Formats: sequence, structure tokens, C-alpha cells
Amino acid sequence: MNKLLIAVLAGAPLFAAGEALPKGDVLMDKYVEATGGKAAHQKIKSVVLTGTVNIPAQGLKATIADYLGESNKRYQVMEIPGVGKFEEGFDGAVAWQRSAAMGPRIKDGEEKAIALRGSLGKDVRWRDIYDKADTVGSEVVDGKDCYKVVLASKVGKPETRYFDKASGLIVKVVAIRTTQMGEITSESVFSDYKATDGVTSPRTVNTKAAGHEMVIAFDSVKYNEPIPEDKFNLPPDIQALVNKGK
Amino acid sequence: MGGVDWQAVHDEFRPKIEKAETAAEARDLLNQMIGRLGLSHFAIFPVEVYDRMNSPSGDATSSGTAGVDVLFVNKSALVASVEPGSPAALAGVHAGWEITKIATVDVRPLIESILAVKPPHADLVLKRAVLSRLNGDTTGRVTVEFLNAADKPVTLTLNRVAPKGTIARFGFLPPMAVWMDTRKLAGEVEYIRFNQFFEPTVLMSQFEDAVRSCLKCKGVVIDLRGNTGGIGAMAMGMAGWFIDKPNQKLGTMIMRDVTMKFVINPRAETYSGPLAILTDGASASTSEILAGGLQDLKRARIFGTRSAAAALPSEVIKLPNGDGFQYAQANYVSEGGKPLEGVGVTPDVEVRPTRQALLENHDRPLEAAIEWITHHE
Repeated sequence: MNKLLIAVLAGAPLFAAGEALPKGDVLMDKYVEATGGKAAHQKIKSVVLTGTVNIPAQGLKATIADYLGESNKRYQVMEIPGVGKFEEGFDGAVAWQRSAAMGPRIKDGEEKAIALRGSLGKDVRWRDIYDKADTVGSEVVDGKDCYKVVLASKVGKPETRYFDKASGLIVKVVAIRTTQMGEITSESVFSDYKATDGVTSPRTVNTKAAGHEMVIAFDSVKYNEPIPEDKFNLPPDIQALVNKGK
Repeated sequence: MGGVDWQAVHDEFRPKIEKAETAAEARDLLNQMIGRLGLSHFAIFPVEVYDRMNSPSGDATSSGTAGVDVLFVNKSALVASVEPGSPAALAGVHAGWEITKIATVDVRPLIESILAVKPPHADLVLKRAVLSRLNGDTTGRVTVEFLNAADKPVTLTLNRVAPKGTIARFGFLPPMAVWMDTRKLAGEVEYIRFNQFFEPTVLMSQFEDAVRSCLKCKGVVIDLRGNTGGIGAMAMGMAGWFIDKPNQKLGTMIMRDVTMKFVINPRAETYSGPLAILTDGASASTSEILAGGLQDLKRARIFGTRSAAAALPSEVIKLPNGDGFQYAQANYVSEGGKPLEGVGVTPDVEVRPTRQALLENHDRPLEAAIEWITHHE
């Protein structure tokens, strides 16, 4: 009890001297096992996620849909009533973003590199995405005793993950995202893990970034559903930018 | 808190609020309290405003208008324009008429009492004070006393009708009517005017159509007079029709933990000719971001009078009693390096409206902009 009190007052993580920390790559692989195993993950050739997004402080609610296909193709759309759609995509060659308010743009640099590395199966092929994973300590996150792992990305800024010691699941991720408007640090807490076709994923993601809180609740997770190829086509205004060579 | 001893302000107002007998009284005191910060984008919206705009009948247009817009010249409230077909138009109200009384309120003393406290963003405050009395329930009428062109008093009782435009809803802000007018002037100048930066799915599409229809035109005029702002991202999107170079920005938003660039995404086809933007003392917030940023990038020439100097990114949350509370959450610095809050956008060409010009159907800032475009090489 005294050690707990001192640790809290000192702001230090709950870390008992001498505790052997598991290696970061062991925890990353353990996460894959905890969420269904490598074989189950590798069977996934497409993902369709749909859900809702709630930004409670501003009273904004949106719908979200995310389509991941082979060859790292992706199309994501979030629609906020009164504001319109925020869309992002990657057709295998062009990474793009558009919204009613800001118009269309083609991503380059780090943003494009992240699109190129893709999201499908990224937990299994994490070694293609990160140079190393170092376990740096323990912390209690969202009421769970977690290992803290710092990941050095091959592209982009370091990322910190918190793995539940008991279940091996990811509880929180702290990442610095490079966006067109600047670098934004986000903290995402993952919960409500459920299985679909033998693969477990979080159904609720609570993200705090740039002074705002956003709660995504996925109501549907589908694997290996056929996705029409034209879902990943470039919208006309993006194609126009490509044609102009911008 | 910008040098304000907030604890002292709290200690001063707390006993007064505890003695308040109604929510309206308490709200007025809270508004005085946050007014001590001397900053824009701090406000409390009464729950009744939300209730009125979200009536059970589903008609969110119960904030009606007689069709009069106002501006201020020499401490007088003048009719700036009259909406065609509106109750005011049908009653013969004309631009340039002075508004001397609204219902039981004498306007000149109202203006003087407001100016006596030297409010920041004075034109914005005056406009809200007058329009909030002219406008109101669509089932009601308002009696207005004017001085006409001959300085003769004219008393009219005007109906109020639903405002034109699309009703826009955004988070916890009260619903509002949003509109855009576009037309060709002098045969070869595209004129675009809109009242707020909301409802991007509607307005951005209309804006695109207007610019596309005039890609080879002699010039474009964006009229931001009286435009009190809205979604900041729309300024970035609109600027993208006039900037062809990548990696340009209108300015920077500075929050406690993050800095965000208001980047411009050039469109595949952009308008490259002269661009004039009109501002006045009620051009606020996102209007100032757009005008100030394009001025700093030397892409637009600004005509009119200095903007409201009220440009702080903000958000609106709900208080426990249902009122909305708007508060600034960031500072904003235009691309030229100046903060817009408290400074505003200074026009390249200052052109002040006059009563005589309005009475003669002249719009001096617009005419100056068209003159510049016409002779621009």
C-alpha cells in the first residue's frame, strides 16, 4: 500500500524493482496470439468496418465506414451531419484525402508512405512496419496493469503501446501522427474486444487528440466480404489533381 | 487569462449570481463575467434559442426576419440592404434609411450606451443588438420607426418571415439560416456573397459552381461584409480555388498542446485573375482568416473597412441547464505573422459606406472593387 501511495505521489509508474520485463517483440507476438493467432489473421484478405463516431463535448455524431482490401487498398469515410464527408483512400498508387470543407488533396511524403505500408494484417507483419519494440516499464491504464512498449517506426514517429499483462490485448496507444495541418499526438484507449471469424478486435476506441475526444464504436466487423473494386477508385476531383500532376 | 485576475472576477460576480432570481438574470451576469476577458468567441446561448429553433413542428425557422440588414455610420443605424420580396421591401423600406426606433427601444441611445463601454468588436456588437430586436418570432411583427431619404419619420409595422437559405446545424451551436448569393456583375465579374461559413456540403458546392462558371472572368469579388464566420476549414477549401502553388497556408492555429496550419489545397483548376474581398466591422472569425490569409499571400485585395478583429477558434458545449457555452480554445495568427484577434484585417483600400451613397443605391466598397478589377492588368 505504501509503495502504491509513493508511486502515485511521485507520478512514477508502478514498477517493482527487479521485475523482469518481457521483450517488446514477445508482447507484440503475444497480441497476435491473444487476438486469434497468426493463421487466423493471415486468412483475412479484406475488412469492412462500420460504426458511429461521437464527439461528445461538441455534440457531433458521425457514421464511419472503413474498407481494407488487398494490395493495401483502402477507403475510409466519416460523415458528420451538417459538415459532410471526410474521405481518405489509397488505390495502390495514389493516397488521397478530401472533404466538402477543405477540398481534395493528394498525400505525399510520410502520409503516403504510411498508406503504402497498409493496414491489412499489420499486426502480424509488424516487423515490416517497426524497426524495434522495447518494453520500457509498466503502468496501470484504464484500470488494467499494462506493459509499456515503445515502437520505433520505419516511417514516422515512435508509437507507445500498453499491453494488458493479463490478456495480452492492447489497452492504449499513444502516437504522433503527421497530418497536413501538423503533428498531432493522439491517445487511443481500446476496449470491448469481440471476435469475428476467430479474430478478436476492439469494438470501442476512445481517442483524445488536439484537445478533443472522439469515441468510435464499431457495430460491424466483417472479414473477407467481397468489396466492389470501384470502392477504391479515385474520386473525380482527385483524378483531376493526378492528371494535372499535382 | 490575458492578465485578468479571474479569481477576483469570480469573487465579484459570485454573490450577484447567487442573488439572481431568474436564469436570464444569472445568464446576463455570467455574460458580463466572461466579457471581462475582452475576447471574442465567449458567449452563453440561452436554452430558449435552441428550443425556439427546434420547435416540435420540426420547423427550425422560427427566428424570423423583416428583411433588413443594418450597418452603422456616425452612430446611426442605417438600412444596409433590403431583401427583395421581403416584408420591408414590400413596405417600401430603402437602403440608407435610418432606423430610429424598434418597438419601444430608441436606437441612438442604445448605440451610445453600447459604445460608451467601448466593447471590443463594436460593429459586431451593435449589429447583434439591433438585429436581435428587428428579428424574432416568425409569427410576430415588429414596429420600426425610420427616417427616410428626406429625413421624414416613417413608422412601419413589418411582418417577420422565415429567413432565406438552408438551416444549418453544427454541434451545440443554435441552428442558423445559411445562404449564398452569386451573380455576374458588369458582365464579367463573379460576385459571391454568403452570410456564414456553415453547411459545407451546400455552400462549397455553390462556391465551386460560381468559380467554375467564371474561370476566365475579368475578376471575382467575395463579399464577406456581415459574415460572422463559422467552420474554419471552409476558408481553406475556398482559398484552394485561388491559390495554385502547393504548401501555402492562410495562417496558424495555436492551442496549448498543438499547433495546426490552415493549409490550402489547390484545386486542379484555379482562378488566376484579380480577386477582391469586401470586409466591414462585422466580418468576423473565419471571414478574417480567409481575407487576412489571402491578403498576406498577396492573392486578394481587400476593400471596405477593418474587420471585427474577432478571430479565435472556439467550440460550443452544453451547460447542465441546456444553455450553450462557447469558449475560445486557441489563438490564431495569420500568415503575415499578425494575430487576428484584437487586430483584424485592415483593408488595402479603405472605403466607408455613406448614407448618401446608400440612398442613391451605390455600394461604394463593391464599386471600388469592380473599378480595380476593370483596370487591373
